[in-house]
Amino acid sequence: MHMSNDEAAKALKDIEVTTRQIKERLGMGPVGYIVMLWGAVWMVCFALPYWAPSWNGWGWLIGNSIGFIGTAWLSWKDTRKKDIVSDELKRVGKNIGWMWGLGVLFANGILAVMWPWNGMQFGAAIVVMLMFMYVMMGLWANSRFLIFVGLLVAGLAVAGYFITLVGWLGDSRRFMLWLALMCGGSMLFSGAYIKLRWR
Amino acid sequence: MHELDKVIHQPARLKIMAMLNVLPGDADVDFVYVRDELKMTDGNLGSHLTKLEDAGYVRIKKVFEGKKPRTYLKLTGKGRDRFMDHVAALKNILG
Repeated sequence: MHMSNDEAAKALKDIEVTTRQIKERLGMGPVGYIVMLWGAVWMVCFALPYWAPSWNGWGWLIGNSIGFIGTAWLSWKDTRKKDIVSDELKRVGKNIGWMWGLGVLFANGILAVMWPWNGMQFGAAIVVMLMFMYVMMGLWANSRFLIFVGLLVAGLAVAGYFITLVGWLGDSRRFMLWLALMCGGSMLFSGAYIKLRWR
Repeated sequence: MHELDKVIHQPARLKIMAMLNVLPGDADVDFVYVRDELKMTDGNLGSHLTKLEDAGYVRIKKVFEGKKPRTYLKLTGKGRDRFMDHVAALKNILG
């Protein structure tokens, strides 16, 4: 059987693309929707104090509830419809679940010893810690895109924090608006991109 | 010496094999899942799978889950070996 260099290169490219997509898709599961959901929650909850400061606490309580219930529902739905029966994939999913559970515990520990913090520090720290988890998840699921999103959003949060500190952005409410637009917006966009790119 | 495989060479079958090869050996993959992932029709996927099954590269398992018939696919050991051999042969062509 004869094959030219071009044909061989094209066949190898097809294999590489299919392999990468399947790995990414299997690692992703409902991640696109979950990232979009949290992006929307962040956009609303971080922006809320700018217009309605008294609603800040309630906003986060409701937003986080929607986020956690939504995440649990999307994950459960994905498990139910999972067509692939593989112990290895189940193990990866279980490890990612454990990583999130323990990550939240560690984040609480860090925030507890750092007390007292102000709203700006809390907002920036939460974003950075959660984005660290995204980067870890990206490393685990072999997704460069998740690693990129984690680094980008964490970088925007830290940059916004220091820009606000030196007075270029205005008061802390403006920083919350920055987190809403830059971090929440990036998450929303990234989630949509994941769905469109890998659908 | 690695050899190209005529059955695997066809582009659609190459993608099917590449997809199944990514999955662990114990993975049963739903027919619908493969069809949707590779954006193929039922008939198209079915005919390619028949060729791969005839060659002994894929095992097709039909089961009933409740009243619903489902078809699961799995790459055989022979299929995995031949696929790896085919990939190595492609790499050899490029030098």
